[in-house]
Amino acid sequence: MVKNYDVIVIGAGNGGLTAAARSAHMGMKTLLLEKHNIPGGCASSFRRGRFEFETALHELAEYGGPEDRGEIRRLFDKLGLELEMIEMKHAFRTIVTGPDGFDAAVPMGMEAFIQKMEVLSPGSEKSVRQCFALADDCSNALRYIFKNKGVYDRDVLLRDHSNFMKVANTPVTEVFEALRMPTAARNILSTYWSYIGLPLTKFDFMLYILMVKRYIEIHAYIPKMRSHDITLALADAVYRFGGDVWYNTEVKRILVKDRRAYGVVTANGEEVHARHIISNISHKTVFANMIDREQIPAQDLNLARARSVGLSSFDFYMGMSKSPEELGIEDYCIFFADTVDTDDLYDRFSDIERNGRFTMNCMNIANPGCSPEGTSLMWCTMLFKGEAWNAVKPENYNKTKRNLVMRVIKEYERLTGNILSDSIEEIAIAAPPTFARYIGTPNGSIYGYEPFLWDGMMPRMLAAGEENNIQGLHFCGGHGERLHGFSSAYSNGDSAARIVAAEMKEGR
Amino acid sequence: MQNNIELIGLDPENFWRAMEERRNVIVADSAEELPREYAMNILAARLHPHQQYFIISQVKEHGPDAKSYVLEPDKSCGATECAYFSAGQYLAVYLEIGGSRLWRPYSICSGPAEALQGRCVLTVKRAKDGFASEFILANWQAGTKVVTSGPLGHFSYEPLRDAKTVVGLAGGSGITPFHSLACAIRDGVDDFDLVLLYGSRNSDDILLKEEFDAIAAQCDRVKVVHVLSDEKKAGYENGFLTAELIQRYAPAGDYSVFVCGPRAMYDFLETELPKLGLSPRRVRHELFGEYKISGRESGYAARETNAKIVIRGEERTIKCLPGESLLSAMERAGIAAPSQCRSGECGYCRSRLLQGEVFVPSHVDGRRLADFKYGGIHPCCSFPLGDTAIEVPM
Repeated sequence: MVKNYDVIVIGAGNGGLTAAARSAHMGMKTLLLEKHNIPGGCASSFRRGRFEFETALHELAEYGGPEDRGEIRRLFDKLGLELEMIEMKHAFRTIVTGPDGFDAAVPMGMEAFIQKMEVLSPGSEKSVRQCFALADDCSNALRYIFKNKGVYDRDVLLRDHSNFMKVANTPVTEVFEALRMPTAARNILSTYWSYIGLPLTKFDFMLYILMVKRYIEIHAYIPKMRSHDITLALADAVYRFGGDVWYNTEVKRILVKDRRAYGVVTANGEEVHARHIISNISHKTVFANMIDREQIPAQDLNLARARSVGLSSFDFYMGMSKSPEELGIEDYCIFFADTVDTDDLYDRFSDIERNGRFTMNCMNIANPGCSPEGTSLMWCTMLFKGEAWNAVKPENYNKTKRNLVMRVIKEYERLTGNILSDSIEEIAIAAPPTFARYIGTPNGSIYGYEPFLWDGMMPRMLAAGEENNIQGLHFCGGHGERLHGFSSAYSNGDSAARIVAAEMKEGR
Repeated sequence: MQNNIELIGLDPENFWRAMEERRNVIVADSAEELPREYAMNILAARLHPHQQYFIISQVKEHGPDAKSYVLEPDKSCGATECAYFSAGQYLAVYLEIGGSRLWRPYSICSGPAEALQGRCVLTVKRAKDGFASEFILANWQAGTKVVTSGPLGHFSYEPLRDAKTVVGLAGGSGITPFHSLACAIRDGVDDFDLVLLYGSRNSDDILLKEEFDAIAAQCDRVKVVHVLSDEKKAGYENGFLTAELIQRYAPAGDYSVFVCGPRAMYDFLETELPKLGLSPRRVRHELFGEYKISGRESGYAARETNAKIVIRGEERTIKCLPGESLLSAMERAGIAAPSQCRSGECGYCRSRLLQGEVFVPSHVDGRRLADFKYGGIHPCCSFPLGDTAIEVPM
């Protein structure tokens, strides 16, 4: 007999886990299916020797303290997750070489951040304050737009929210220019661009400044037991609210008839039915491989074609046989770049040998005791277009990875004076094929779709009503409306579940 | 009220441009097909195939107790290549023995360069009470089809981490990954010097002796010293792999120690290796292997228990014999539970403990911190302390 659910969620990444947990929480009979043997996708951990490494999470935005809960903490509280989270004290340190290069560290907390920016870039206070004021204006405008389920009056927008209209869907660089922000402040304030991965000439200012503000104002957190803890807590919530989770279960087909999704077929041929399907798998993959072509509305297919696959990543994880003090490390995270020009950096994401940007983290600084006494846990991240690795063959894959690690470590040692190369006890290197292996995204992408202006947050949100024309099929994860990154993916999962709940209520 | 901010040169009508562009994208009918697959996903599948389908093309006997099997892609199953690997890695081999269905890890004996020629070699030595090795030696022959995992494990040379010289300590069938590493050095795939101290009972017992002699003759970066515990013979060392012996053959400067052998050897080295005064980063062990629990383990009371196995909501109850891991009990009951390393490390068998308690020996406890909170266990190294219920991901 075919099993029947209210909701089937395909993929237990951050979006899928949240969608499943929230669906079950709202009383829907939920089944979560995952191809891999454990949940989490990017949000996981792995062990080597004496170390347990974080796979992906640098810092979780929109979490906030117990008194000042951010959106994600409120979501997790609603689901009853019990997590040990550590507050991040420092926003970031950035070291950029080349003309206009700098070495700057800034604190969390809005006022402290603005004051420090003024010290680092005299004369910047007014424009930096204005940036954050614009973030408030954008939030107000978003509230107006979504107050009425996305029905808004263009004239009201123009009259009451002209600041929002000027800066939303406008590149960061143009708004910085309009505010006459000093160059040094622009460069420092640009640091977080790699969390979304678009150069600032193409990056929507509203999205950017809302993100920066969420980190700085609400305070980011990290989980003490790596993101594997959040992942398992979410999976546990699915069970607690009566849902089922099947691992090692790949979904091959989504069943659609008369533009209505009604079930899935797993790799071993089992058919399972549901009124609603939430896919943590991207439109591109779903439409190419999982739904009969004649069932896909032309406009949905056109949109999926036009979107571009987001960036992938190169990460190496090191268990060090020395403590952070012995290594001379004081920062949780340093962002490195060999130029202030984000267009140039972005272009070189397509070139293994010339990629000029990386971040280096030492978890012990934020999470003391995360590795045994006298050791430390480090990892480095570089963004890449997956295609950059196209010429790599199995037999030169390890060598390619190692050469890149050697280049990056050398650069790190040169710029900080801290020597790493003689105390590596464990090392694991992940490249785009590694992400393709574990999360199955196109070219090992970790970042949904590239949020070019036409595919940024506002267009995705405002057009949502006209897109996704297969009834009962919903999408979540990094390709959702809130875009990618941990907090966004959790939010996307939450909103997919809420949409399903609303539709179920209407009998759809 | 919005903030009063002068935004020089920005036009609010700009806002609609991105929306219009999106609408144009959606109506523009393109003939371009969505890609069905991508280069990185193809590369990932070649590097890390979920399963490999082989056929045995050749069998070589090494005395009465060991054989080497040459595996080639089984074209009848659509296989075209042998996944490239790092010397020292293993394959988990799928076996059906009587009513049991199980996976067993075997180190790849051949070098990575051979994989590019479309073949790899597994060498199997009869183990004492070896359920799988007895079966393989008795049954595998030319033409036998073999299903394996992709290449797995971390017992490989890593120049970013290891010293330029590795002192290999091998015992019994633990020689096979070192053979792969030696081939990789000879073939220019890996770049280090290997001094191998290989412990056997007597000179007749040495596995792959001719093969190592041939490599050493071709390549001066590989040196093999045979250490016989039960025989005194000219040209051979006599005794065990002591710290003193290691020091005699180790280079004067920096070196790494790689260890692969039976548990007795690991136990012996636990007191010998610290005498060398090496940093922990300079000592690496291959997987512990099937954990044979003894009644003496503290906290473990061996008795027969019931284990309820939940798979996709379907339940069945099986018997778990004294000394048997939950994984072995499932396999004996004909459940082809997922597993790879069988040493507690890789986590591929990870299941969820729903009821009861299990004993996990500390040196094969590969669980992650958060697993302890949510009942994540590795059945391959989990021994029930009473009746249990587990959910198995399959």
